[in-house]
Amino acid sequence: MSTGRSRGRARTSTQPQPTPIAAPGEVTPSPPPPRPPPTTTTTPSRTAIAPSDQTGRGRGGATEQIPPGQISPVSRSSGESPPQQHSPPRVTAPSGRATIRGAYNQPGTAAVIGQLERMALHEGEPAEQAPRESRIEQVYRTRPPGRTDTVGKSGDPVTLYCNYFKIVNKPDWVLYHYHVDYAPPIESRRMRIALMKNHDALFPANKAFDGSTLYSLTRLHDEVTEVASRRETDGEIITITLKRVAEIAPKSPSFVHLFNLVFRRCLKLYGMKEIDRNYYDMKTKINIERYHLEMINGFTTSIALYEEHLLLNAELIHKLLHKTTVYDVMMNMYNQSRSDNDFRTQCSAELLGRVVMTKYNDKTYRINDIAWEANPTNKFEQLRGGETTFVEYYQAHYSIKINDLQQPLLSILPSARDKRRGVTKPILLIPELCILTGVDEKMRMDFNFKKAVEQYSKVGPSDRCNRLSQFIGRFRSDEKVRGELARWQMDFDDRPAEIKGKVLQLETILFGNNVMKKLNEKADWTNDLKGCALLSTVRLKDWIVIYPQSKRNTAIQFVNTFSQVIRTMQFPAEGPQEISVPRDTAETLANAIKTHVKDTTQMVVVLMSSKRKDIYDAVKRMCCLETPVPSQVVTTKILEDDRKHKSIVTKVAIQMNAKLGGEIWRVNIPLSDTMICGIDTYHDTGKKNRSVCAFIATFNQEKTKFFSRATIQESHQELAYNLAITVKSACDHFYRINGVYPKRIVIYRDGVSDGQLPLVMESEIPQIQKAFALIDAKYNPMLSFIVVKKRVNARFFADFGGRGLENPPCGTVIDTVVTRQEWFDFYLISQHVTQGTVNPTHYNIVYDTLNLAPDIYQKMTYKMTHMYYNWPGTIRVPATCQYAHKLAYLVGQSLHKEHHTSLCDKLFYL
Amino acid sequence: MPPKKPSRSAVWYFVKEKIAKKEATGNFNEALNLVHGEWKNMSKAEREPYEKMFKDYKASLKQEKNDAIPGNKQEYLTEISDINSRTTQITNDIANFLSKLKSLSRDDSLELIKKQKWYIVKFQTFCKCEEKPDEFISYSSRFYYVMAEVGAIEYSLKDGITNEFHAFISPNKIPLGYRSQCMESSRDLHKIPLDKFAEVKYSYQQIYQQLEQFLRPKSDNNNYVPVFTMGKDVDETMFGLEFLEDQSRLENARPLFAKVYDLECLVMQLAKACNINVTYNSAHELLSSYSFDYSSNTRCGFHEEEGVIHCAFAKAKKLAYLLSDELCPSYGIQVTESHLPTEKPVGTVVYSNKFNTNDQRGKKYFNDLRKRPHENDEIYETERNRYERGSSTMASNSTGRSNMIATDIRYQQQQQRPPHSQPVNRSNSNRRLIALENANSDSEAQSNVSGRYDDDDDDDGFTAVNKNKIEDDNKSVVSSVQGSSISDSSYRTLPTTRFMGRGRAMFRNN
Repeated sequence: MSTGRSRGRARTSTQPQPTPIAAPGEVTPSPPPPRPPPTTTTTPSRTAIAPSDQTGRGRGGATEQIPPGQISPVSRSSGESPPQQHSPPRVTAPSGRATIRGAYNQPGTAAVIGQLERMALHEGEPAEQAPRESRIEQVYRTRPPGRTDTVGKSGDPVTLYCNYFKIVNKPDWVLYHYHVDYAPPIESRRMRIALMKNHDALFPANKAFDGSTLYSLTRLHDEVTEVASRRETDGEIITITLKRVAEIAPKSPSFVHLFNLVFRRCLKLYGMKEIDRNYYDMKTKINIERYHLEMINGFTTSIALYEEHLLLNAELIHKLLHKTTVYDVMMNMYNQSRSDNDFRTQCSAELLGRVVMTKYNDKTYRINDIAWEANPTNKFEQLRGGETTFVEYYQAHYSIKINDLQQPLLSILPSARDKRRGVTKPILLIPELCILTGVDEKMRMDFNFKKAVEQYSKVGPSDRCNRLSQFIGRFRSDEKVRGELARWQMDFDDRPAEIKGKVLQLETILFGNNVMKKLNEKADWTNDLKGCALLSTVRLKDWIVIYPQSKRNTAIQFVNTFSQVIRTMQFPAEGPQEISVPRDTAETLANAIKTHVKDTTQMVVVLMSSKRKDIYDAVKRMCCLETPVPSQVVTTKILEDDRKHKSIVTKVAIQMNAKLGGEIWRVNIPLSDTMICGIDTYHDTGKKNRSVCAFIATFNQEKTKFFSRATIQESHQELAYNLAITVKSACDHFYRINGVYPKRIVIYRDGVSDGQLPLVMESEIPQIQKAFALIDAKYNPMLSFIVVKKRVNARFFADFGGRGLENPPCGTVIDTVVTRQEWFDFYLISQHVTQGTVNPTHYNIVYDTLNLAPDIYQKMTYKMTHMYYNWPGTIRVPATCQYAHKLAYLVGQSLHKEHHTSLCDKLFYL
Repeated sequence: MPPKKPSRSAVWYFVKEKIAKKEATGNFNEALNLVHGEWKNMSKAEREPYEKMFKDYKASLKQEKNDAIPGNKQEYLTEISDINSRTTQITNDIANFLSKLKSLSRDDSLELIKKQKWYIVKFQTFCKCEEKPDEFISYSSRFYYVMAEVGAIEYSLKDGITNEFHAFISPNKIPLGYRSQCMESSRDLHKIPLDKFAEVKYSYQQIYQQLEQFLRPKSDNNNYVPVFTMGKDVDETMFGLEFLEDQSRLENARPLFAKVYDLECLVMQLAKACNINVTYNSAHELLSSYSFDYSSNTRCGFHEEEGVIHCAFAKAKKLAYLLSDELCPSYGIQVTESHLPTEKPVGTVVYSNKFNTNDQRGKKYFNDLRKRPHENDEIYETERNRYERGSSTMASNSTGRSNMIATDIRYQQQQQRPPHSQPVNRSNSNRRLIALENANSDSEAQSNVSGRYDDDDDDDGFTAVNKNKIEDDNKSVVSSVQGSSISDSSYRTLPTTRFMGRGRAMFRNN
């Protein structure tokens, strides 16, 4: 388990690439393109299996489990490089999309050459893995056209510090950008860099090289320079072709790319180790002896051009490392087991499915099988051709000697990406060289373990800020780093940037009987809720409680307490029908529901004595699909705790009212005829490659009632299809209740990474508009589409002059300095946290015909975070998103089908 | 991500043509160098055809992008068309078969269909392997599976389940790399252990012989036996049957399993035989209902004990139950114990409808409560009725088969209701009014639910033109968004013909 945010597998690969097509008119007279390396050369036999030397980035397990991470905006080129020739950065590639891709494109002769050359290279050449640093990601411009004001005016000003550091640079140099090619082609980035090292003399001034793009202050005399290097491993002579593609001025995106390269090199110079693209300080390990673990801290950094300045974002991260290798684990088991067979079964049970990290290049894999018949002396085909044994391979490439030559090998199925690269057979790894990662079930359940880890990984705001600035300070004063930075005439501030934030007004919550409560700074109304009536209720006349015979007393107690707690909340419920079943198995409960739920039944409460998922699934399937009725499952264990009993029953009662279609509280959101929606997705466990997309929309003027739909989509994708029909049905429902179609529609879309932004915009917004057209050709409501991002690297610290820095109060909005020029975005801290550093949520308004002032968007978003009925406080995202998350989870985990339509207007999934 | 398309330009076409005409040699780049000068000197008009080709190409790219669903678009689309062509063929096969039955005599045709025995086979597997090991490469299934158990039933509409078969199969070779998947499915789904499973009683050969005995009781019959299973399991079943046949290595084996059919197609055809139109998708919806998943005594002994629902035997039976449930009423067949599982009502009502309120305050509160009218009362009731009305007219919904399209049709039907029944609850007073208005019709609605809907239709405020328009809209939603073969006309026929979901209700009343 990496306690830090691992960046996950960058999903940017789905981002449509502008096809580098030379606009016809631009093929101006220019010298014939230089002869590229023979295009007929294909990389040798692709069936080879290499023990992960060239696997690109770590794949499998750890990275796969993590939802799409945030990709910091600039120059984080994607992990999954598209099979594409290493093209020079887009600065030289004016394409049809130049207008939306950023304003830096400078067409010129060099550009044309670039195009011709690429055009040539693509011809007939098999897809080749490009080193991943070779692409520069430009920020996808999503700021709605015509939007000029992105800064809100309301709210109390507050001074904040953040984990951004200003880049101070006034370089006056001109930078030359070279494109580097190898013949025969070489895939390994390391190898590419190593080969280039021999020619450092060519660039007396300086150079930065990432494997395919080289920046230097030196201007090579010829446009194309060819040099040769000898490959250490086999003595082959490799020709390196350097092509000058462009001259770069400071402030261009290439400059940002360069700065990132330089910065990463500095981190390496400073002695940090790169694991999964983050840099860790290996010197300060924290031992967690009891669990044979150690924790390392590191930093994830990125440099990007924000509103006005180039800023360096640095965020503290932690990673747990196991000390034991898979080999150790196996030996341990071997010594304990009685027979060979016993040992094998035990190994399979223990190790399969676990994620391991290879010692030599820190890549992660999920073990799929153990090849008992194989051992390290076996031969395998290398990806670049030729056969070799594992022993020789590791000796040659990593100078690692394998000790036990009898150990079986770990087998990993090639992923779809590996298959594209030509790896079709399972990848084999040596147990000796694999370290266990992640946390197994046992540890996850262990409370002490969690505590031990959190002790180190949960860092408060004051501490975090100090550690960051100390790190940056130390780093900057390091001699080697200074030298490197000076050569590029770069420098950065070692104090965190100061920002002016705003704190939005505290909200007032309305309860039943027109009771209003002004909120406190913690935005928590647990206590207020206790004495107040619910905003609106549904008379509960006909409901049933099903319980296993053995839990009769618990059931009686539950009904009794229920009858007491509903008085203060004025929930007009009458006594339930109590149904006792012999045992609480899936069949009996399902059957009991079938037998006793009549058409008039309003609610089913099931008391379950276990937490078994299949039983829960059975109940939910019956209640959401077969005999549609809102249902509430309560485990008896929690009811039997006398101290908590009453508060649990209170919560259950409130939840029941919400599930029936009642309202609990509300905040005043003045926009009339407005439908506020939320979208979230969940990836189904039942069937791989299936995901659920849930859509929630308010359907009354007070925005307290929520309409819900879920769609199940094939193939593993984050994006919502079938949206048109969903949006249409929500609008229709709105019409049925209000007599008008919504005039304004606000959609909060959760679960989109930066890389997916273009896809979301290009596929979902047209779908929504299609829905309007389906309703009526003339129907054209005002729409705004807001992308919500929870995983961000930004952190903010408030200084109230007390004891050090604190978390900013809830309702803090940041819409300057660290927001993007290309976006209409803001950060909002809506939740109150008691420990650790608060994680702001990022909102990006990508489509906007609603045209509200930034203030209104900020306020509306903040208000919507108050509306989650399961939590008497503010939450991290707008309530509609949280409801969507809940629904998607229920459908994905238990139902595997969309819920019954008669439940659409209720919060049955709470 | 699909491989990147080579980038093109007008020059690209020019060079390509030159290469085709053998006017330039070598690979593209060499050719380009050769003809570049020529291209440079060409006039605009001369370049025109190439520019056009390029423009077309660009347009086609754009089109492709618009058409395709991002992600595994190509695969997805070919898969869909595969399914479509396969199902059409199967549907035709079954239709031919049924019409042969019919041709015997018109009056008896339904009777013959009722008596016809169908075989439903369901395999349970440990995992699906994307690549077939070499020795299985000749198999006609797309993938390789690791077998766990098989369940089969013999079914006719008239007599329900007449024979059943079940056996655990010892797992065949697990290809390297798939063990963890096998273990996961064993742990999370069917609980069948991978190794040393005591319940595996028969060898492959014995299982095959038994299965053959089961499928073809009369030894003189050499015909193919049509085997049915859910569309998504066809490949799995095909592999399973082929595997057993292969492993048993019988001399003079008569071809037994030629084809595995989609049960969905059978449903479509059986429904059609009594003039009901069902689409493939709605048949699929029907067969994937959870209605009988939790019925008692449908599983094999092992799974009954383990208490998990993933049992091949139960799954095969469930399909038969769903068939009986949906089709028997239409055929006018009285359902019996072999049609549907016998379910005893579970659970005893212990205490009815009263809170145990001992203290005075509590008593008072609840007494008050009962007297005081509640603002939400009527609203809730009417909303409920509206749904009930909607769902009983859309009978498929009443049995819980929620379907997006069905919903939208229902909405559309509701749109056609007279304007007064569209509640506008802006304010409380308004709410009351509408509630009252609707309350008047409540009793009526409850007594004759479907009749009520018809009434609604009669005093429909919309004009016919409007109605058509909405229908059209709806159609376009269905076809364009769903992209499947559903046509909503079939849905519309459902309510009037009372196709779905009545059987179960009937049975429960018995």
